[in-house]
Amino acid sequence: MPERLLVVEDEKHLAEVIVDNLEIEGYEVHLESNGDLALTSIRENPPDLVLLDVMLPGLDGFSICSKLREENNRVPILFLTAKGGDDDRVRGLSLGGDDYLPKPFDLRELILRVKAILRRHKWTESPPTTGQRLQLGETTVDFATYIVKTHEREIELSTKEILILRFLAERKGEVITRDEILDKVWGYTAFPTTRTIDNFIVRLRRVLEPDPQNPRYIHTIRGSGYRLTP
Amino acid sequence: MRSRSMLILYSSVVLVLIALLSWWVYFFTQQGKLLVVRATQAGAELTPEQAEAVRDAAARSMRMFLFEGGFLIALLLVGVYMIIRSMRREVLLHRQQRNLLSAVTHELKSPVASAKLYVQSLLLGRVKDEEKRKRYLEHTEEDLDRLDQMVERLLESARITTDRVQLSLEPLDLSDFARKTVADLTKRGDVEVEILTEENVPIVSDPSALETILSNLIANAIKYGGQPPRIQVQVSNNAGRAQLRVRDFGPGLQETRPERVFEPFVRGENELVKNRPGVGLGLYLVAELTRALGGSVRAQNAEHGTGFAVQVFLPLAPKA
Repeated sequence: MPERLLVVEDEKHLAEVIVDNLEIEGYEVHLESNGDLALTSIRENPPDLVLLDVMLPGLDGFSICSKLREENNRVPILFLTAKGGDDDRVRGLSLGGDDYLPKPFDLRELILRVKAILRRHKWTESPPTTGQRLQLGETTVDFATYIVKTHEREIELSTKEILILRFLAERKGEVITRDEILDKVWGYTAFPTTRTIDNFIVRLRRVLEPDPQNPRYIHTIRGSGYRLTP
Repeated sequence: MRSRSMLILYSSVVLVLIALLSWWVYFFTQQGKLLVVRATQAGAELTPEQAEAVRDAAARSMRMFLFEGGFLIALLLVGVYMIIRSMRREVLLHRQQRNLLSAVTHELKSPVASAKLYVQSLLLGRVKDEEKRKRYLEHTEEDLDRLDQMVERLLESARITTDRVQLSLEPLDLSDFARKTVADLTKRGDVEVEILTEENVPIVSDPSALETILSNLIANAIKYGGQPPRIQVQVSNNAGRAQLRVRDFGPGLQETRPERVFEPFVRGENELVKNRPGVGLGLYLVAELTRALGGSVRAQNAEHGTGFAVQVFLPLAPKA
């Protein structure tokens, strides 16, 4: 079954050429040109991905995104907008958008981003290849509930933390670069920086390692990235 | 925001000055009283006349200080008022420019984005169908036209605000001119136009300025004139003035001060207008050009039925 995409765009010309090109890629594409109608449509019949313009008649794109996230709707969202300032980019992503393309954008880039988001979403939604649990010494990580059990406490990890850990676990024993983690877990380049990954790793070690200063499971490979050895 | 922190700085300087001044007035008014008290404490035997004279002198200087101090405070307050007023104007201008920037960004980038995707689709050979290829090229052309209009409008408004408008006046018949221009502007046929003209409305005017006025009025009416747009153009001889009136049949303007539409970068407040393309320059251009032609403009919701009407009044040609 082809993946269903919803394009929300009120500029007729732009909408037509985007829809045409996504259909050529083999997706089932629907179009909405009004913000309120788009929100209803997403709620009633969630697509696999929403391409969302910001300036719309009715509800604007940012409001649609934040409303959906408040309702815990995790439908992937790619913002398309004429306001290309950094503020808008940060705003869109912090509201829970998955990616951001400033107009005018390149046709090939649009298609690549769409594919990347769909791939990432499929990965996060599918069961981990490691099985539901990961055992690190006496510590158990449950990928479904995000809960880490050590012999003395129970801690709930955040979505990003669990995804990083899952990525490392699915390729245990291999060296994984920071860029690979960014691409797999965040998906967009340069935001946030690779430094952010290091901070996440520090937090993971504090939870998982008996001695975070001398890690036994999550190793730093100087100059390249990280490796998980259970 | 920079201007806000400047405002806070200015205000605190002024407050400190007022406090200092008040203290200064208070201090000096106390001096007179203190003199008498000190003299008495020092054991000086003042005759009642002498004590009276000292008190009199003290009161005189107190009045002087009060007057001078009060005058200075009043002066300061005037200064503060002027500062606040100019700051407020600055903030307004800043907001206007930000509106412009965001609107222009949207207006320029949308057609560019669309034209780029059409051209790339063709370049990458993604369109096999001949019909569709033609359609893509037509859309690209329309996008470029829209871009051109936008740039033209921006340049026109920049010219109007920086230079005086260069006019080349010639005698013409407004009715005749309006009929021709309107027919030309609406020949694509996607709009229903009604033209009501009185015969012979002679004016002396600049044809290219008039054309800009008319095309902006019509573009505006089409944009807000409902679906499908319906507009009415009227030329008449109105109480010794030539009147050109363009009316649409859309929802009209929910605005308490309709004349604000003639200010640059001002657009209607409702969602319908906000989400339509445009930056709020069209009617500003109309107003500025009309003024340059010696006329005046007026905007209001239509009296009968729905819709919005703009009237342009121009002086009639002097009778030969």
